[in-house]
Amino acid sequence: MGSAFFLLVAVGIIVLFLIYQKKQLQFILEKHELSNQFQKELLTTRLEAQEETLNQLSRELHDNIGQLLSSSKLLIGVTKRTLASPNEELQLAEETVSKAITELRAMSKSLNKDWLEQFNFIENLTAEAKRINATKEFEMTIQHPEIINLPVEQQLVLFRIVQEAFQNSLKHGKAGHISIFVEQNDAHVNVKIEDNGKGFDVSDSSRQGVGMINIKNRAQMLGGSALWQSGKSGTAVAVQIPIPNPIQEIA
Amino acid sequence: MIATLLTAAILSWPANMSNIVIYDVLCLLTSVSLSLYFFYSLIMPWKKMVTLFLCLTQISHFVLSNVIFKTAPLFDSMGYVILSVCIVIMIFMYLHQILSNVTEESLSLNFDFWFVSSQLIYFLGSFIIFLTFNYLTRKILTTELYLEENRVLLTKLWGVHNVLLFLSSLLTLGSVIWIAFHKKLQSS
Repeated sequence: MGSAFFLLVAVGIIVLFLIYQKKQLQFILEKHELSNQFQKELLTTRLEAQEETLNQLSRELHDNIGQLLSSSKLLIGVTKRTLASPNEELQLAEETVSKAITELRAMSKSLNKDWLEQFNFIENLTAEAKRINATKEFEMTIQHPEIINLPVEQQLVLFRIVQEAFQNSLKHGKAGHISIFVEQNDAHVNVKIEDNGKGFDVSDSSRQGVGMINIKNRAQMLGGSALWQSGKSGTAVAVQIPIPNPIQEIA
Repeated sequence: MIATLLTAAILSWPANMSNIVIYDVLCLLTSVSLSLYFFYSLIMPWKKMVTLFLCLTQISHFVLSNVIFKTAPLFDSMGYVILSVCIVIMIFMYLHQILSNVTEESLSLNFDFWFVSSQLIYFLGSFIIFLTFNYLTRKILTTELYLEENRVLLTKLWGVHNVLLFLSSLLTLGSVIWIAFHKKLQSS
């Protein structure tokens, strides 16, 4: 009788232990999920703040510096008309200011979220390539499908990723040529940005700048990933973004 | 603290004091000390109130049987039944608390859990033993027949009680060693 009783209590304690472990696992999972959700919200807020800063910058460029350049161009025009034979330098100055205004407007547009959201990712990317190629200092080529199946907001985030990647290529890699390959299948959109600039040691974490972190964070926010490959020369960034399930989106 | 209190009580007891009284006082001391332990371990106010009520019930029983009514000089098995059932209720309240407040800490490293589990083994067993003991002694007193089989059964019950006490102490000691070993392993 004593043994049976002891066995019964022991079984009871073991059952209690198992129930506790099950609850503990659930608790840890819930905590982990909450933490992930919090991190995601934090990331979204940070990127929204960045986007707002870019918007403000875009407005400043357009309304302030843009206006100053326009006034300068106007003054040059007025000066030209007052002169009987305008000299070559003045002509060159007018052309340079005109070019600066065009450049500035294009840049302002590429920074402005509201402007970019009017177009899809491919259209924005093509416009950006056109702007870069217009400088004649760099060359950018794009291979892309007609459209990509991502929601508008995600297309903008993807565009920011690509913008950040080629800014890195131009600024740090001193690249002369950048190739962008966009492709998609049923599940993912894949974007590869390759350049012929200076390479870097991908494993060296001290070489990872804010740009790379931003790319990673943005890709993570869309549930995707960003991977770098680099050697002594040339760098490739492969970004993979999952295409949301339409049923999940509705839910 | 509980162990110190009980040991001090036993050591300071006069040599000519009746065993029955010592048993009663030990029952009271066990009750008060364990009630205090659960009172501070339990979080919910209603559980604290229940603990307080159970403790007062046991104190009342002690006062009634030893001071006011001064019942027959026999081992107070009913007092131990009340003690056991009260402690078991407190234990279940504590286990309920553990299951309601899950943390990331492993339960196997929680000393309180092992201590309470060992108390459960002892007091749940004691409850059944003392209840049977009470039934048998009442039967003997009523019929005034103290048969050999009754004597054997009562002796066996005490034996089982001692085994339970030993097992519960072993579990407590084992948990102390296990937790200390685990902590040492973690720190190294």
